[in-house]
Amino acid sequence: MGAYLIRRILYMIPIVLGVVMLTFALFFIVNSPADMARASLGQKATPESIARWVSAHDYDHPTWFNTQSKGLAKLTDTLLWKKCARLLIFDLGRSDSTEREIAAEIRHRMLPSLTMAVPTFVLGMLVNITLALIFALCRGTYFDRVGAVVCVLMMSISSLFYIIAGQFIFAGWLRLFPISGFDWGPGMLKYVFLPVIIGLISGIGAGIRYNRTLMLEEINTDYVRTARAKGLGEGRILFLHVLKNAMIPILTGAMTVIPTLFMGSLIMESFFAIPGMGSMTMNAIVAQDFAVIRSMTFIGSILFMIGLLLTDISYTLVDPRITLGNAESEREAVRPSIRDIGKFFLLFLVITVAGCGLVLGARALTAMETRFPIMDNLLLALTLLGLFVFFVRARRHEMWRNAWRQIRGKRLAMVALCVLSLFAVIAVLDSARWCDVRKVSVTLEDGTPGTNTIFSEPLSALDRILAPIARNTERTYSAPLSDRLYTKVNVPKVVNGKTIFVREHEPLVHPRSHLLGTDKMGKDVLYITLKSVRTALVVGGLTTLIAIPFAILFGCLAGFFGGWIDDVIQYVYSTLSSIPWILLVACLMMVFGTGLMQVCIAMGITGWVGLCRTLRGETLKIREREYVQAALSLGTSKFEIIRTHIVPNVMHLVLISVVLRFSRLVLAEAVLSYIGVGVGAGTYSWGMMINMARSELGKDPKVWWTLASSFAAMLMLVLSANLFGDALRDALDPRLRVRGGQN
Amino acid sequence: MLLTLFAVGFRPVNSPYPASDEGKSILYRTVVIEEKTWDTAIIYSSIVVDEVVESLFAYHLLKRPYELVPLIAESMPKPKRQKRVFQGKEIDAVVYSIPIRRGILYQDHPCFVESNHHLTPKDVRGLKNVRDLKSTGTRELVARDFLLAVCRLADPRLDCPVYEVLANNILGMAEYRLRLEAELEKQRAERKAKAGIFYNAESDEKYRPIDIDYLVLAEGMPFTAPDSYTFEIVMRQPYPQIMAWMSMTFFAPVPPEVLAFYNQTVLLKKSMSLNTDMVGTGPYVLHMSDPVHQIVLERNPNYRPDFYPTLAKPKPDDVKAVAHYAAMKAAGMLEDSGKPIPSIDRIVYRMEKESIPRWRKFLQGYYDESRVEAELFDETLRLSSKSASVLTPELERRNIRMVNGQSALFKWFEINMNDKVVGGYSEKQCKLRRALCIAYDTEEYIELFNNGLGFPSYGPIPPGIFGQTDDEQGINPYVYNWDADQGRPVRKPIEEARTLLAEAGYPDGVDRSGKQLEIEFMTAATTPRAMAEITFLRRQFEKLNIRLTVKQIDINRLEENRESGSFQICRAGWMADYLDPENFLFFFNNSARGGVGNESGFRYHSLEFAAPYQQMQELPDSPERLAVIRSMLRTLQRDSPVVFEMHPIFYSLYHEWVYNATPDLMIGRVKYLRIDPGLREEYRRKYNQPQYGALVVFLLGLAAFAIPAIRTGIRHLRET
Repeated sequence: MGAYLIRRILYMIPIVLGVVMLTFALFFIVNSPADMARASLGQKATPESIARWVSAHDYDHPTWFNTQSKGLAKLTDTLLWKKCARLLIFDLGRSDSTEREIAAEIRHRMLPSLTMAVPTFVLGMLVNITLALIFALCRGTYFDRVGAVVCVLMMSISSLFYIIAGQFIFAGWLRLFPISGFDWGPGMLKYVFLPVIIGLISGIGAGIRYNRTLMLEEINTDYVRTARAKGLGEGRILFLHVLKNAMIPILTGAMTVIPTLFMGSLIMESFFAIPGMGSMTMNAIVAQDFAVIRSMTFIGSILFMIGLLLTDISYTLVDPRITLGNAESEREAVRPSIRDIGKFFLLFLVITVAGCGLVLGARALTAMETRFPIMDNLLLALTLLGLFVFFVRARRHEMWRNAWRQIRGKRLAMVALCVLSLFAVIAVLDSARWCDVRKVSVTLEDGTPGTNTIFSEPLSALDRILAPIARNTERTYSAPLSDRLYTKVNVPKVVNGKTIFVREHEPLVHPRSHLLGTDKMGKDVLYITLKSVRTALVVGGLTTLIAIPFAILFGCLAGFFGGWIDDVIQYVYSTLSSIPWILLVACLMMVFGTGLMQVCIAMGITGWVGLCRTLRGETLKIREREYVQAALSLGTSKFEIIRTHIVPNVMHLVLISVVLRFSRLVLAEAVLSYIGVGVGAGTYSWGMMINMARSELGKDPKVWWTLASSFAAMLMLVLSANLFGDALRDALDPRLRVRGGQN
Repeated sequence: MLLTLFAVGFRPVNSPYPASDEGKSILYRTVVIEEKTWDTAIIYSSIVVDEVVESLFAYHLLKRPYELVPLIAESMPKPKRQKRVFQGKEIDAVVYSIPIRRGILYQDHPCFVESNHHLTPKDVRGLKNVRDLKSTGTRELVARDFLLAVCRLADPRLDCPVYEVLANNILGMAEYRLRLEAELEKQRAERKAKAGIFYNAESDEKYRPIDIDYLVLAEGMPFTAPDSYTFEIVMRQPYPQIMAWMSMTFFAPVPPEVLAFYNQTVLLKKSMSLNTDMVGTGPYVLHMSDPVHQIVLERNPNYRPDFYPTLAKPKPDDVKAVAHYAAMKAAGMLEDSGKPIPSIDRIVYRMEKESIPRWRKFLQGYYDESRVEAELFDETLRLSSKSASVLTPELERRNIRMVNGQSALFKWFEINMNDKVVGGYSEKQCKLRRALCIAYDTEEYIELFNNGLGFPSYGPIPPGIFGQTDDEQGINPYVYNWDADQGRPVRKPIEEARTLLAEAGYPDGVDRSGKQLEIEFMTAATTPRAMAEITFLRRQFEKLNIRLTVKQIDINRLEENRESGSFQICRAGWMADYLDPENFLFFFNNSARGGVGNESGFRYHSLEFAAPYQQMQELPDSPERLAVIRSMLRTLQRDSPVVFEMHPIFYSLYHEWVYNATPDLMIGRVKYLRIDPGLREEYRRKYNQPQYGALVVFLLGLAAFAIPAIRTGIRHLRET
């Protein structure tokens, strides 16, 4: 045990180093020390004061390598060494923006974070396990089915909405809790009641589902069936056998989470003004305070590693079948040949180069002015083509045909599919864009008359269909189906020949034509909501498209070969996982700039890790099957084996993951828009609508229709995706598939 | 109804303050951003520091137009013209000899006790607050302390943001800085010689700053303290605005004891320095500060006897003064004249970054005032066309009142004068910009985004400041017509803008080749309000058939582009330091030397504008000065180097229990305020009744749902 611990701790070191270097690289690609100075000094910065700040904070060195110094100083007289080396002796230094000692500040802020995170976690576990148990007990009943749908419903609501609604209802309307804030001392608890309750409610859906799945898995095992057959009562089975064994994965999963409790939740702390670690990280990102950012990622990664270590140790303690270290040594690593490595590396290069090429090409194409904007229409065409090819090939496979038959039988899934198709149609209509052409007669430079072709702004098919409501703009807010403005404005009236201004609700230009009301600039809210559909689908789809090739490649490789390839890939994804996701995406967004494509790329680059881990696990299992072993001993090239045996057998997992992660991505876009690194101006998205809605709720009287529309639309899409994904998973799960083609 | 039956008589449970503080004379305020430093040589103004630290002069609370009156000074100095010889040159100088009041004491502070200047690590172990040190002391304020403040402003290490302006006007300041720099060089060389090769100036001085004897080095400089109660400062040329600077905390007195105290390594290592503490003569002292959470100020027991100011009854024929007196009386601002101040014992500043909770807590009565939330609360306030504030019924029911202040803000669209399309000084190019000015409907913007709380901008000077008048001469004749019947300006019709655009070479918004004119707007803002503003801007340009493209980049690139001049238009704003027209016009004075801060992106060079600048600066407020300013404004309006947008109205909302409130940051001080804690407790109780009833209903509902579910489950269990 001791040797294993030491080995694991040593293994942590290169990962932590990698995390620090990655954070450093990400940060300094985007920012220069002058930028940090400017962020810190604010509006009144002059070149002299910037130079002074940079030198006072010890930032006037070259970033990576100092060519002007001698000997060892070439490496040590750089920002990399000066800023990061001290971390290894746990000297966190001082914040760049506030000059306070970081370590002291962390100690000070840990208490609020923990006060909020620990009760959420503990209570969450208790509630989720209890309710999952109840559902598992009543499985198959009407109650269970309704409960499942309710869980999916709750899972499909954005956490932002829970927070906004929760604050509004509990603190604003019922006045049971303070809205926000924190106070050290005995009154501490009253501030965390509300965040804990909201955290609990927002996590219930996913938590119950997960725990219930684990319990059901346990219930369907052989020994439980035997016990039942022997006459043991259902209650005793549940409490004596199922619960104890289901707790293994639950608790060990919880171990990973425990260290991250210290890091606090960025969003919660920001909304509830709790001065914890999460808000410290948020402030550092906004203020471009590198000293704090690197400290937080350093600590975060260490905690993450500790979490993984605790998970492994707890596995040993809880499950007598597993001993430390034996899981790995028993598996013989498959040795890859040089040709195989070459082939895979080539594949990786091809994917990356193709991806970059596509992006750059897309950029170039967007810049070209043509009648049909090339990039959007090309993307659309490619997507439709891809889907068509998939459907044609899937019809030939038994697995897909069976799955389809199974799904067709479920009414709820079919309804969900119809709704999804509707959204897809809207998105497709919105992607086909072309310009209107206008011929203008001009006099050319040499005096002769000629004509010039002017292209207008490209409009999509959806724009043209919705043109009547798109063009009907009002002055400002108006309620759904109203005939007057919502706010009072100065209206000129002629009285006795004089024009005076009267304060009143001006009648609308297009009364009763706005089904969902209008927004601040008078644009029809229904139009905005429909336009945001494409953004949501692109975010969900394109991100997954970027993430999938890498996830499949790395997951299969890691699972199949084991050994050093597995170690390298695990290293890469551990490093990526230990940096807080928002931090990573925010840094990437600063590199790429704001925009829809950039959001997709950033989320794609950070999103392949989860799927990769799942595929690795699955590949490990498939590798042990007889036909794979046979192929190996026959000498088939590893590339072929992976291509023909492994990948097709994990595709169902990929598909399930695509559909289920889709909803998470759509919700994540809303969070990104909230912190300001979203899709930017000019692109409609539900995240931006929610963002706008927050301030609108503060008005008197309240403007509720923007929030209601975006919430309803998002809910419909995400709920349908979740329901359909569930049905798909049930249909494709080999354990539930009946052998022999019977159904 | 049923719920309210439950609700009567409960104590509010949502208070963010300890129960022991109920009913006490405490003022609750918010801070939105963390101030990085409280060093008076560096900050412009801070609502916290302004309560603790006093300077020579201050604006009279009640008099309008704004008038500086002595605060720590005994009386207002009369500037004397004198020929001085400085460094071999003869200068036409202006001497200000300021008498200081006697008997003013500093607050109690450990720095005034000599033994605290030799603290050991053991003394400070576990020390969280400097005030926990056992021994504190005080002493009387002397003129030398002002001298020290001026000397510190020149210290290159502190980087005073207004150093350039002051050095250009105060005789001897630039030369003094050279002396300081030489002294620093000398000391650094000495330290380097001692330390050897591992010497690094920054890390060495982080905890062991170089101790400069400012006053010794200042020997022979024209700023002196001839005796304990006189402070003398000399201007190179007439610069009346120095009086306004001297009312800011830059010139607040700095006792040498506090510098010596905070030079100690043991304190600096604990992050205790002049950045985290303030020592002054003001009515309040810093009690505790936790910048992420709250800052608490307590009453200063050493504060001199001070009284609420009085406003003299005006002569009956002075119409404006009579109206002002009546307004002040109606607002209740004259009730406390002559009474001793301050009356509030404690001020609590809470950190509140998010605007919704800030607003809600204000409505709940947990904050006594709410400042400048126009962005958020479009519908809470309304300004009727007569400029009388009309609040929504909800706010009126709660007896909340709005108090307007002097607008010292100026917002505009900055145009890159070096740009080929939108810049340039030819008449054609000016016409393009003027067309943009006419098309941009500021009145609509103010209506939609600021709830009517703002004045359209005719030039850089806001209404209420000298130089801007409410009559026909005060408007921008290139953008507005004066309606004589109604006595107010009317925006020129859009057709005139289109004509101007055609004359500028873009008939109907297209250039010679038939391509639509495109203007790029550079922005770094991502808030929903900013998005709506972009849509609004686009709509204005569409009136002229001009296409708006948006370049959205982060704040650093934006600043870089502004400095390097690679943009077409972007948004800008400015808040004045003092209420003199010069502080608004200096932006455009680039033909002379540059001003303070970051206006280098302006690039408006006009000799015609710059010629009368010096004259404008020196003249006292008079018809002559008004004429000069008007001609300068005409030049600006003709060239239109910016699209003048608006002056937001500075206002604050106050609860009924807060008296004598004024939102002007330069004038309002907590010492003038009076609160009625009893009224506050009543209000809080009334509006924060916890709805326990709803909770009970919810739990009942939950039980109603859960019980049959549990019963089904148990039945299921028994059956299998």
